[in-house]
This record gives sequence, C-alpha cells and structure tokens, in this order.
Amino acid sequence: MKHFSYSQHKLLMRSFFLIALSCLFAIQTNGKVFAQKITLHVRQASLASVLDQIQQQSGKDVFFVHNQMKHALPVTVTLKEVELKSALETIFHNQPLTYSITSNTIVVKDKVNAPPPTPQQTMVSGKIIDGETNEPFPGVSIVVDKSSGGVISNDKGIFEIKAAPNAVLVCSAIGYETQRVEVNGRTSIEIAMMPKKNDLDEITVVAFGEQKKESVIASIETVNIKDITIASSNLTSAFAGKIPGVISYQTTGEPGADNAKFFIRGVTTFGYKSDPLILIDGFEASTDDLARIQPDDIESFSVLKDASATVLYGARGANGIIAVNTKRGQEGKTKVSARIDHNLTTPTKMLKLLDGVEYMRLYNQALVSRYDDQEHAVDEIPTPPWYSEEKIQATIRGDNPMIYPNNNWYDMLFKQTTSNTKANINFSGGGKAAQYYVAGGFDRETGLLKVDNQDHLNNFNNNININRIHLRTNVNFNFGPKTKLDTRIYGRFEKYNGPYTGASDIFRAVMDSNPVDFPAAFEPDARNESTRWTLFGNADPMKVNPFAQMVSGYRENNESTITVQGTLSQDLDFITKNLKGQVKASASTWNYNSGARRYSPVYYALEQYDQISGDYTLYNLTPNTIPYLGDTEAGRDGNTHFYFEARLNWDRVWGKHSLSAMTVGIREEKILTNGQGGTIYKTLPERNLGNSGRVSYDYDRRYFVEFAYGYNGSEKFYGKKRFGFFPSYGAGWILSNEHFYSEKLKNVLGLVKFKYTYGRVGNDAISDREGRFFYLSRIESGGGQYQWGRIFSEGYSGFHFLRYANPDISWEIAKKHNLGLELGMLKNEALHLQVDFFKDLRENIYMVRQNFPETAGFQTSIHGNVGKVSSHGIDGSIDYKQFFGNDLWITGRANFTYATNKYLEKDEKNYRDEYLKSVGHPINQTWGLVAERLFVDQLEIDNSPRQEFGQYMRGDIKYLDINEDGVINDNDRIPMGYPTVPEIQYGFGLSAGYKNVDFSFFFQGNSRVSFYIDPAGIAPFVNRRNAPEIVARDSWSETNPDVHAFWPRLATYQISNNVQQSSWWLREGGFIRLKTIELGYNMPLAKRLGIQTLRVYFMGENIFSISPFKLWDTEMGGNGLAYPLNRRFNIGAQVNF
Amino acid sequence: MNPIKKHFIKCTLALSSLLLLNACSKFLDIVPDNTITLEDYFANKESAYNALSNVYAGLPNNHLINYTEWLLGDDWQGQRDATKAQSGLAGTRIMEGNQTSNNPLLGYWQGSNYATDLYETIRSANTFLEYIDLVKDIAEQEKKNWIAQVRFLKAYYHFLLVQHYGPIVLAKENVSPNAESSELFVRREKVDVCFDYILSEIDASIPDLADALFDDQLGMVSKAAAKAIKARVLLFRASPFFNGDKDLFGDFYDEDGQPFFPMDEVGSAAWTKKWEEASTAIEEAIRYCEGEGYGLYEYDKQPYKYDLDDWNANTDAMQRLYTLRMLIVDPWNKELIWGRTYPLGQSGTMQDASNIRLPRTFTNGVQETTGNSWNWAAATFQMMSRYYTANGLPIDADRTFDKNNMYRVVTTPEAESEAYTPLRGILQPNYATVNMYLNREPRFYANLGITGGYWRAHQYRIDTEMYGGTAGGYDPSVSGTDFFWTGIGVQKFVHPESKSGSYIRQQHFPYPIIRMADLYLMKAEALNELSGPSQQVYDEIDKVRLRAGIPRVETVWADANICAGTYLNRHLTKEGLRDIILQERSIELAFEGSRYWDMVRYKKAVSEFNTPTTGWVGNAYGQQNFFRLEVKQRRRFLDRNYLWPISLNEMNTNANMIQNPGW
Repeated sequence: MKHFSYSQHKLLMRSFFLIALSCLFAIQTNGKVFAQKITLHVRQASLASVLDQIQQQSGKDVFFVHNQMKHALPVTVTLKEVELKSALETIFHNQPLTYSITSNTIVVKDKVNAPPPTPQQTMVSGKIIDGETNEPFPGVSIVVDKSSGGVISNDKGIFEIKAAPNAVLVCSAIGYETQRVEVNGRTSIEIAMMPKKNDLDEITVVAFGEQKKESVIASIETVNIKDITIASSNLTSAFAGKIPGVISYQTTGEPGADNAKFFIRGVTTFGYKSDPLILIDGFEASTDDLARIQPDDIESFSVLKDASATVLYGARGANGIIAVNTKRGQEGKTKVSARIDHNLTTPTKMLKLLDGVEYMRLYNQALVSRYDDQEHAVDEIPTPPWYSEEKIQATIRGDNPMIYPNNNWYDMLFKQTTSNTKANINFSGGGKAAQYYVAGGFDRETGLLKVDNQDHLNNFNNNININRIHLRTNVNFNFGPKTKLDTRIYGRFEKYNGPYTGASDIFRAVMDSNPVDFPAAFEPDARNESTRWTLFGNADPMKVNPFAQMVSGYRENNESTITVQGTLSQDLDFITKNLKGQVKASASTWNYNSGARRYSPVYYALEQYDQISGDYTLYNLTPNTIPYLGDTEAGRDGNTHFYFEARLNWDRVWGKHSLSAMTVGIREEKILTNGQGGTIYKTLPERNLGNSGRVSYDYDRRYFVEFAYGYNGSEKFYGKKRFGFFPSYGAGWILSNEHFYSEKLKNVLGLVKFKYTYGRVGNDAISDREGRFFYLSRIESGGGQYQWGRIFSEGYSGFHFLRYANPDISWEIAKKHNLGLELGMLKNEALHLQVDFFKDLRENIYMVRQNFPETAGFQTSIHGNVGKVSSHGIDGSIDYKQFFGNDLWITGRANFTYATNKYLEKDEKNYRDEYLKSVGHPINQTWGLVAERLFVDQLEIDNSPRQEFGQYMRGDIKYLDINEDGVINDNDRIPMGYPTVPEIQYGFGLSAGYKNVDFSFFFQGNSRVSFYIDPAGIAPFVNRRNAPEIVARDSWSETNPDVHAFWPRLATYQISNNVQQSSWWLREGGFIRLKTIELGYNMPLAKRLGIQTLRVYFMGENIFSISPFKLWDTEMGGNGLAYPLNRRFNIGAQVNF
Repeated sequence: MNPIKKHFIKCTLALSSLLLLNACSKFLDIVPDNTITLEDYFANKESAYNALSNVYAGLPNNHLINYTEWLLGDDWQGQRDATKAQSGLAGTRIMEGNQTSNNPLLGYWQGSNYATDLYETIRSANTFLEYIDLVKDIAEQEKKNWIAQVRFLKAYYHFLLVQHYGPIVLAKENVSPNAESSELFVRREKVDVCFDYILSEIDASIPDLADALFDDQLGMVSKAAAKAIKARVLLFRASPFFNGDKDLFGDFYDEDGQPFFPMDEVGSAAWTKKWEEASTAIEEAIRYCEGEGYGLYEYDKQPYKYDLDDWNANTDAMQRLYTLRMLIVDPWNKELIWGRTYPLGQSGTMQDASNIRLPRTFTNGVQETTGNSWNWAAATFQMMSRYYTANGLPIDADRTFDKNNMYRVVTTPEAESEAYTPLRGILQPNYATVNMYLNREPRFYANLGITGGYWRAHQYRIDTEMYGGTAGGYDPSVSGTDFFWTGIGVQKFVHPESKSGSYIRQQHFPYPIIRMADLYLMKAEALNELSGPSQQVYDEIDKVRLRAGIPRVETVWADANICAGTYLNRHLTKEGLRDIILQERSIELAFEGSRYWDMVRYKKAVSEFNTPTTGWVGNAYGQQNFFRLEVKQRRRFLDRNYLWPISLNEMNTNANMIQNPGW
C-alpha cells in the first residue's frame, strides 16, 4: 500500500508536468504564417504581446527571457505593411532592450553593452502631497529610475533632485502606491501620493496562496471586514445575511455561549460534521477562535465555497472553508490604531408569563379540568380549589409578600440591560530587516443576571462576567532578499465568572417555577432571627426556586489559547526561475480549567401565619443541610494541535501565457485531553497526512483553466480506504477581455466573467472521536449482567458490542459543481454583480443504517457509508459604489443565498407509506402529525381512530389518520413545514458619507424555515409551574370550547397526546430584522492633536424585527426559553496616529 | 561537487521528503493492538462467565416493580394515577389499556419499555455457542453443562416470545450485518413450529444439565428447572388459547393462507395428544424434583423473638403463618425450582416497593426515609376478596361467612379472652377492623398487610392500621403520593429482617420463576382437562391446600353445611373443578404473575380484566373515612391485548412481518 501510494504519487506528479509541457509546446509551434511585412496597431500594449504578434506575422521564432519583460516599456505604435527590420527598430526604440535577427529567429537581449545616452542632468524640485488630504507629505523617498541616488522629502513635502529631462522619478512611501513620474523636461513638479488601495480589491486569498482576483475561477467570497465589524464581541453573530453563500443563525444570546451556527451553502450533509473548516493564517482553528478574533486584526476574510477552492484541504474541505488571515507589519514609521466600544445590551424579546393572580385562577381551573368521574365514583369529595379565594384576594391587595408572594421571576432575577466594553490597540511598522504588527485587545462581557437585588443574601457574583484579553504579535524578518521568516504568536486568555448552572438554564427555570407558592426568600421569623443563611422559599414536594438556583453557587472558568506559527520562505531561483519554497510549522494549545462552587440551599415553607399580628413561623424543608460552599468541582480540558507544511510555488509568464503551479505536503496532528479521562478512542490523536497541488494556466487574461488535487490520508480509516484522492477542474472566460469587446461596451459593462468548476472533495470527520476506527469492533464490559450463588455473589458483568467492525468505512465525498458569473456594470464598474449557481452531491455519508429487524438481535446499530444528499442553490451579491465629488459617497450591498437539499439515498426503513421516507426531502425536514383541531366531545373521540399517545379527552388534539389504518401513531407523521435551517437568507444595506459624517444600515432576513414550539417545555401548570400569558387568553375550556385555541384542555400534568410534534406547534421561522445601524463622525479637530483620524460612532444591533411569530425572538426557533438574543446600543471611537 | 549544488540537493531532498509524505511512516497507524475483541471473552473460563451471564441477563426483571410482569392481571395496585407518572409500572399501564404498537410497553421483542431484549439475548446465546469451543481451561463436562444451560435459555426465551406474541421469528442462528435481505427479513413461524423448536431444544439440553447445584451455582439452570419449564411450555401449548380460536384469530393467517395458531377441536386426537404430553411432562418433572429433594416448603426454624409468646400460645396457627409468610422470602428453600437473582443492593425491587415504612414510634421519632420501603405497592380489593375463607371456600361459596356485613366494622376479641387465642400473632386484640378481614384462610394473613393485622419487617412486628397518619398509612410529611392506594398491603415479598432507610439491611432472596406448588396445580389441571375430576386430581390440589392450612377440596365443596347451593359439588364437574383449580392457583401464586397468564390461557382475560380496580380510601384518616370502597383505576383489556403488539418500528423495517390482530 505504502509503496503503491508512493509510486502513484510520483506518477501523478510526472503526468502533470508532461501535460503542462505538452501544452507549452503546442503553443510554441503554432502560427507559422510567412508574411514579411508587419502591420501593427497597439496602444500601451506589453512588449511581450507585441513580440507575439511579430512572431505570428513574420513566422520567425522570437525568444526572450520572461524576466527581461519586467523592464520593458509599453508600446504604442501604428505600423502598416512595414519591413520587419524597421518595425523592430520602432518597437525597440527607447526600450532597455535590443535584439538580433537571424534567418529564423529573433532573439531579444539586454541592452547592457550599449552605453546609455547620457543626457544633460538638471535640478528638479518638487512637492509631495497626500493625495487624499492635499497635505504636504514628508518622508517620501524619491529616486531617479535606474540610478542609485535618492532624496527624502522634507517636513513640508519639498525635495530637490538632479535628473535628466526624460528621467522617471520613483516616489515611494509605506502604505502608499509607488508613483512613477516622468520629468518630461519640467523643473518643478507636484506629486500626489495615493494610499495603497485595499489589496483585497485586487488580490484574492486562495488555498495556499493568493491570486489576482481576475484570474480566480474558484468560488471565493472575499468579505469586507467593515461589514462584519459589529458591536457584539462575537464575530460569528455578524455573519447572518452578510456573506453570500453563508447561512447563519443564532439561538441564544448568552455571553460566552452565543456562537451562531453557520453553514456554507446550507447544510449539505446529514453526517457528523456539516459546518465549515475554519483556517486562521492557514491553521485550523475552532469556532471559538473565529468568534473571538478582533476584526481590526483581520487582513483578509475569505469564504471558500466550491471544489476548486477547497479541494486542497481534501480531508476537511467538503463543507467549505472560512479562511482568515491576520495583518502583518508594513515597513515604515510606527502606526498606532486604537478602538474602544461600549454597548448597552437588552433582550430583543422575552416570553411573557402569567402574573400571580391570574396564575392562581387558571391553575384552579386546570386542576378540575380533567376531573374524571369514572375514576373516583364512590364517595368522591369534590376537589377543593388549590388556591383559596382568600389567598387570591390577599395577593391582589398585596398583603404580606412573605405569605402572599406574587413573584415576577424574570424581573427578580434579570436586569433590563447590561453593559459590555471592548477595546483594542495595534502597532505596526518596522524597518527593512523586520516588520511587526502587534495588537492587544480586551473584552468585557456581562450577562443580565441580577447580582445584588437582595444584598445580604448574595455575597458572590453570579452574573456572567467575562474578561478576555488577546495579544497578537506578527513579525516578519527578511534574511536577505531571498529568505523570509514570518512569525506569528497569538494568545487569548479568558476568565469567566457566572452562575453555577448555565445562564440559559436559569432562564428556563423561570418557566418551570411557580409565582405564588413561596417567596424567593423569607424574611426571618422569630425562630430564625439568628439563622445565618438565606431562608429560601419552597414548597412540599420541592419545586423550582430559580432564585436559589441562581445564587447558590458560581462558576469560574479560565481558558487560554496560544498559537505560534513560523513560516520560512526561500526563493529557489537557483533551481529554476520563480520557484519559491516555503516551510511552515504551527502549533496551538488550548487549555481550560474550571471551578464550580455551590452550596445546598436551605429551603423553608410556611408553617403558621397569624392573620392579625402578621407573625408567621417557618419550617425547614431540608433539615440537616448546612449551606456552606462545597468543595470545588474542578473541570479541566485541553488540546494540542500541530501542523507542518512544506510547499513549492512556481509561476511563469510567457507571452500571453501564464502558468503557475503549487504543491504542498501537510502533516497534522490533534491531541485531545478529555478532561479527567475518556476512552482510549477519544484520546488517541487525530492525524492527517496529505499532498495537494494546483496548476493554473491562463491565456491572455481571457481563458483560464485550473486543475487542483488533494491526496489525503486519515488515521480514521484502514488499508486501502486510508488515502483518498480528490481532484478538481475549473475553467474561466473573461468575455470583456476579448478583442471584439468594444470600448463602448466596456463603459457600461466593464467586466463579464464566466467560470465553472467541478471537483470531488473529501471529509474524514464522519463521526465523533469516540466513533473512529470503524474497522475495529468495539466491545465493552457490562450490559449483560447476571449473578449466581447462595448470596448472589458470583456476579459477572457480561459484555456488549458498541460497534460491529466494518473495514469498508471510508471518506465522505462531496462532488461540487459551481457556475459563476461576474458582471461589472456602469462607469468604473460601480455596480458589481456576482452570482454563483452550485450543485453539491454528497456521497458516502456515514450513517446509522436503519433497516435491520429487531429479530436479528444486534446489540448496537450498524453503520455504513450509504447516505447520499444532493444540494443546489444560488448565492449572489450586488455591490454599488459611487462617489459624488469629494464630499459624498454612497455604497450599497445586497446579497442573497438560497440553498436547498434533499436526500437521494438513505438506509431507512421499508416504510409501506412513501410519505414516511426521507428520500426526496431536505435533511432538516421535520415530520409531524397533522392536527385537525381539538376534539369536540366524547362521541367524536369514540368515533375517531384511536390515538396512541396516552389518554385524551375532549379539548385535546385530534390528529388525522393519514394512512387510514384506524390508528394514529408514528406512521401518521408526514413531512411538514420548511427545514429547520433556513433555505433562504438575505441581507441588504446602504452606507453613505458626506464630508465627515457617515451613516449605514443593514437589514437581514431568513426565509423558508420552520420550527416547532416545544409544547412540553411550555406546558402550563405541570408541577405547578407557571404558564405563558397566551394560555390565559387562548386555551380550550368548558366555557371556551374553541377547537382552534392556542392551548388544548388544561391540565396540571403533562398530556402526552398534546405534546406530540405536530402541525399544531409548527411555526414559520421567517423574519426580517434591522441587524445593524451606524452613524459615524470623523472629528476634524483631530489633526491638530497630532492624531491622523478620530472617528466616533454610534451603532445599533438587532433594533427590531418583523415576523409573524410573536412569543419570542423568531431566530431562536425552538430554543425560545433560553437566554434571549441581544439588542445592542453601542458607542465607539476609533483613533489612528 | 560545488557547495551550492550540494546545498541544493540537500534542500530538494528535504523538501520532497516532506512533500511526498514519506508514506512509509506509521504516522497514521495509531490504534494500539490490545483493544478488546470477542475472542478475549472466550480466552478462558473465568472471562467466559461474562458470556454466560449475557445469556442469563435476558431473564425478565420480574423482581423490579417498574419492570415486572407480575403487575399484569388484577392482583396489584400501584400509585401511578396518584402521581400522574408517565413512566414506570409498565404492567399496570398495559392493564389500563395504554399498550400501543407505537411504543410497546414491556416489549420483549425489541427490549422496549422495561422489558429485556429477548432477540438480542438470543443473539448472545448463539454467539456463546459459536465461540465456547475457544475456551480451553474448562473441563469437557462443565463445558457441556454450560452449553446445555445456554441452549435451554435460548429455548426459554423463544417460549417467552411465543407466550407474548404467539407466532414468532425463530432465531436459530445469528445473521451477519452483511447478510442478504432474505436472511434478515424473515417471516413469523406458526405457533406449533415454534413450540416444536422450543421443546426440541429443551430436550437436547436436559441430559447435560446438573442434577444438583453447588452453592455458588444457585440460580443456574438445573435439570429440575429445565424439566419444570418444559412442563409449563407443554401446558401452555395444550391450553385453549394456544390451540386457536376462530373468533379471536379467524383472520390471523400467514401469507400462505394458513392460520398461525393450530385450530384443534377440543377432544380431537391432536388436542388429546397435547394434554397427554403435558401431563406426562408434568408428572416427569414432579417425580424428578421430588427425587432430588424438592417439595412444598415448611418453616422449621424458631420464630422471631417478638412472636415467641404468641407462637407458644398458638403454635399450629403460627407455624402455618410462618410457613406461608416465609415461603418466598426464605432464600433457596426446597420449594423453589428456579429463581431470579439480582445484583446485591439493586433498588426498586418488589420488596422495596411493597414494604411499609417503619413508623416513627419505632425510631425514637426519627423520620424514616423512603429508601428501601416505599410503602405503596398494594393489593387490589379484588385480590383481597379472592382469598378463601377459613374453610377454604370462596367468600361467595361459604355459608358461614357473613357476606351481608362484610364492610361492617367489628372489634376483635380482647387479648385475654379465650376467643382471641387462635388469633394470636395473626390479628391485633380488641381492635376495630372490617368484618371481611376476619375468618379468612392463613394465606390471607400471611400474604397481606391489613388494618388490625401485623406487618413483620424491619426486625419488628408492626401493628398495622393503614389509616392516614398510622403505621402503614398515608403520611404526607414523608410523601404525598407514596401510600397503599387501596389501603391493603402485600407482605409476601418482604423479608421480616429487611430494614430500610438509615438502618438499611436488605435481605435478598430469589424471586420464583417456577416452584413446586405450581407443578402440583399444573398436574391437577392437566389431568382434569384430560379426563375430568378424579381423586388423583384432588390429591394434587390438596397438597397445596393442606400446606395452606385449609381443608381438602373434595371435603368442603361436598359439605352442604358449609358450601352454598350453587357451589355445592362443583368439584365433580370438569368445568367446576377447572374453576376451583384456577382460583387455587390465583391464591397460592398470588402476586407472582400467574393469574394473568391463566386467564389468557383460558381466554378469560377480557371478561376478568375489564372491571376497574377498587380499594379502601387509602389516604383517609380514621376508620370512618377509610373503609369506604372506591374505584381506583379504570382497566381496559380488549381482544387485541391477548397478543402483544409487534412494534411499529419492526413493522416498518420488515416487510414480511404480519402484525398481531387488532394492533
């Protein structure tokens, strides 16, 4: 196997070069036309392309070295039927090159021997200004081209230099475009330096390298960092609707646990991993790493969507890739940039619960609602109301709240708002030998939990309080012109303080608690005057007291991540021109330790109450409990991750042909410490080994082809299945670069580009770590226990199978098609449109095979690579940029993603009814019973099909017997609603600036998504818990026999019939929200203070949303009782100097 | 070679070795060699015990209150409705009519809802048989014995499946996950085919099973167990239900158009042959067991200290009471042919659920925890009424029993009075209780816990009252839902020395799978079916009745002074005697899950199990409020309940599967 792979690999490499070479020869030998007269009409054409035309017309082979062309000047000539010799003379006039003609060839040479004419040098004086501000620009280096001497502009931007009248001045400054200015006989010149355009506009970060945007045919979305710079400290919460091709949503706003879910082009597999690979500086990172990255540190943020873009990461690329690169230092004076944000956070929406009085009335009603006279026929005493009218009246009056509490737990436990702060600063600069980018940041996030509502009861901080610092040091060293070292060190340290249980659990506990049975805590009675602990209220049997749950403990987590990377690059020109080698090593460790401390609350209930004196006595529900903080419950976890890579890049431009090739070998290892232990399978390292490569070729910037491959091995598989080969192919065409494409048309439609790619991408993450090594059966002790002997002492634990071995398990494979269109419209391509159509066929999905009968007696499920899913969709964006004079600018952006999928193959049961089969339906499709309405009366129940979900009576949900077999059971579930992951996500917004003021807003929406209310989670009165307010308005009862009421017949316990997943609880999950709004102001005073720019801004997040669902924030879907999503009001300032 | 070239070659070599993966490395081989394999379990005898225990583990958990099948029928009454629990007490939920094919309760076919997974266990048995030859350090004889145990259990599990589902899939050998679908998706076999397979496997296992078990083997399958179970299997095969019924199974046919159940007419040759084979096997089992020293249990030890005075004053009655009281809980006594063991300290046993909490008066006021005495698994009023009178007749049949004043509260004799002497140790003196608690047979007082009686547990003799706030009664300060819902407790599975809560010390005993009394009554039944009443039949019944301290069946039923008109001489007809035998079974084997299957076998379940259970007002305070009869729980048992549902899941999986009627 190993030898096989080696030779296979070699073969592969050889065939590449053969193919590539033969292409070259083919190009070289075409075009034998024997015209001796030359006709040329070119404007500013490259010398190489002119020579190419000469070659075609003359039939002579033209030889030149690519490098020579670097110095060639553009050619503008009009020649008609001119002799070859004089044509060449014209063309080579002024060129730093010369030529010789033989019978068949023209050879271009450097003009080294010919002494340059030395024209008279004169003194030229000039002034350098900043092109943006028109301010004088000191410190710019000015050199006469092709000479050694140079000067620097003074603090007024003035310089003087000796130069020939036809010389060219080269002016350069860090961060600015280098300007080449022809003297043209002038003696006084004003030169404007323009800041370097954002590289992102021109360069696209691709896998293992960068490409000119124009030549990229893979589907790669380059995200403008500004678009995802938000008030929240969690970068992932910014994705929704901002990035075409990414579908993202957030189901909780709990600080520290609020990562949004995101999928590239939707969910395309039902296998173990459906979220994308995240690379930070080319090194795989966690979702948390991505969430915590500071936008200001990001140099580029790319989303790699199709096979061509992702195949090089063959082991992980199937679900797409998010690749983030951090900034690197630039040579020049130290620049400092700092930003500080402060925001107020408040929930977008909360579920409303009943107030105490209404609760008691409705509870009394619910208690008798299911009174069944058949069961208590003899001498039954009617159940008295649970809550007496006296208690209800006293609660209305607001009598002693210890006796007649009316708890609004939400208000008691949570604040309306909380505040968060984040700040960061970065320094960059450096000399020729080394450049640095150093950044530090600090976040402070807090939660909504009230800390000090009853000071003496709560002496430690339960609220979420996260303090996080980041430090990033990116330093590049130049060890000479050919050797470079790039080092990056990043550390993040996070300290979390919060409640003992998750904050979301406390929110949920409010739903589970009772508003009137007991106060959060009692004021001491006479007996407890000296009691030193809080007298938490409760009832018998015990209920949930969310206050006690919240304050009876706290948790401290410390988390740190350190990443170091070193990349050594070497020009290997001595082997062949333009060959570059690079080796890279990365390592990271993540370390987590936590300590949770908790005491057992001592609960009290009311024993006696004297109406007249108001005195009361309490009794202890939890005797023998002394509430001291117990021993720390320690938790720890960590992982280590190593990555090595060696790669070679090579490119060559030959006339109109450019060819580049890259190959890279990788070796990766991830080691997990699973807390205090874990099974061997979980803690064995994950490893990958691979070789990938890419060859791309373009002809005349019109036609592009690309081939890439990944050849990857994974520790998870065995034998021949261990390595997978994943190729991709792509082609592109820029119509607007064609000769026939008229200039006129270019003004309207400046860019027309088509591209298509196809490839197969692998995924080895097909199960959790525990489930790896599919080729081994897994047997464990336990399960089949028995014992014999007089005193049952001969006990044996037995064994059971956790997995039956299957050596055939292998890679999950995605076959990806992408067809893209880019259009640049209007003048200066102000309107830019990009659309991609994609189709993804996911095969070999590892799944639990469902079609095994019980009679076979398997102890565990059988798995196989037997799933198949196809997805398709479209994503696109429209950008609009327009400047109106110098003062007003406007940009707009809209984007749209539609991604849908369906099961093509799935090992599922032999359902007799087609509607039960998943095949043909989306992955996140749900099945539910069809709820017709509520039962009208017993007669109807008796005459309806039997419902197999526990007992039911009139006022309970009546379901439809879909298969008409006379019984309603799980086989009557049909696919309903949209998938639970939105199929459509879109966003649009506008930014505008006038002079120093800028303003922007952005709307985001989801569509074609459904969710279910969790009826068991909100079922009123179960265990005397509270009820959502809507239940009081809209539930079935004897007096309100509305068969379409929101809630069926009330009960004080769970009615299983009513909490089935059914159309009764299905809701549309679509919404549109004002995601961000921002107003900024550039302070003009700043300059005087020695500050380059100072911008202050206000930013709002999640301001409002429009949705048909009203109970909670629709985006949370079925998770509506958790920590709510946040609305933020942020003020911030950014300063550069 | 010039230095640059050297450098270049080095560089290239280094790079290419990285680039080209150096595929010879073992970088991706990371799994250690010594992971456990199936062969490891069969490497030696000691670890092969694990494989053996795997096969035993399929025995139903009838000792656990939430898992037990013994709640089927109408003997028991739990507190399910009081707690509105959605889980547990699977047997009761079935009787309430809550069985579904959607999610079968006690689904032995697939191991759902408190049932063991029998097909999975049968697979373990087949695996055991495939691999056992790998074990080398085991004597040939012992290996044969192990194989015989496993073959027997495999047959027994198939029998349990037939018992519940009728026609089943026979899992004679294991199928591989890669098997063809024709091997995986097999059909149900006809009931007779299933019985034939089961019997042939039992027969094959018997020669290699042990005659006697050593102390450390108790609980394993012995020859006695196999013969007794074989007798039971044949009794089931011969019983009316398993011989088919055109009304119940008129359309229950296999795909080939043949009925799943045999449709043998009563009295036909096939029918006779089945009863003959049954009675022969029962006779053989009894003969063998008696030869090995098995027999009806008699208590032969000293009484507990607290009973000593009463024992001395009322020796015969007390000895009888002790015999009947200790019958189940005296571990491994000679009556037990095969029993179910359980892990030491396992919680939730029948004993835990039915034992009463030690009253505060016995604990110096310390509140007893609910730990191992849950104080709620109760007897139904129906079961309590089913016990005979002291004359060994049903309440209705006994002329001497005051039926019209059954619910009247009466007072037992004074302690000093002569009349109290025969009641010593059985009922409290001078105590007001309900009239129907008096003059009952000894099993009534030994098995039940009643107002005015005694409860022997926690190493005490507790005077039980069962009213709210009294010993055995409702105490909301401990639990609002744990109380005997009918006000009638069950002591049968409580060892007198079992202690709970802070003083925890549980006494362990195997829960019977089959015992001698069952065999005798089976014999009586088979003989009666085959050839009607005879002295031989009476003798078998009387063995059990005499041990229970009640007169012979042929005496009381023939005694016009005692036996009421319509009941007189019932024992002389086959049908009458059958009813007598079935009632005898339901009393002797009360709470042991026998009555449910008896009613199924005779197709009486629908008529017997459709009435609601009743009981006293268990949470009432004082006798006035307590002794009122009320409906406890609606019960619903329909024709479809005779055979248990094949799960929807299995129906959806196997296209060849035919569902049982009505599901």
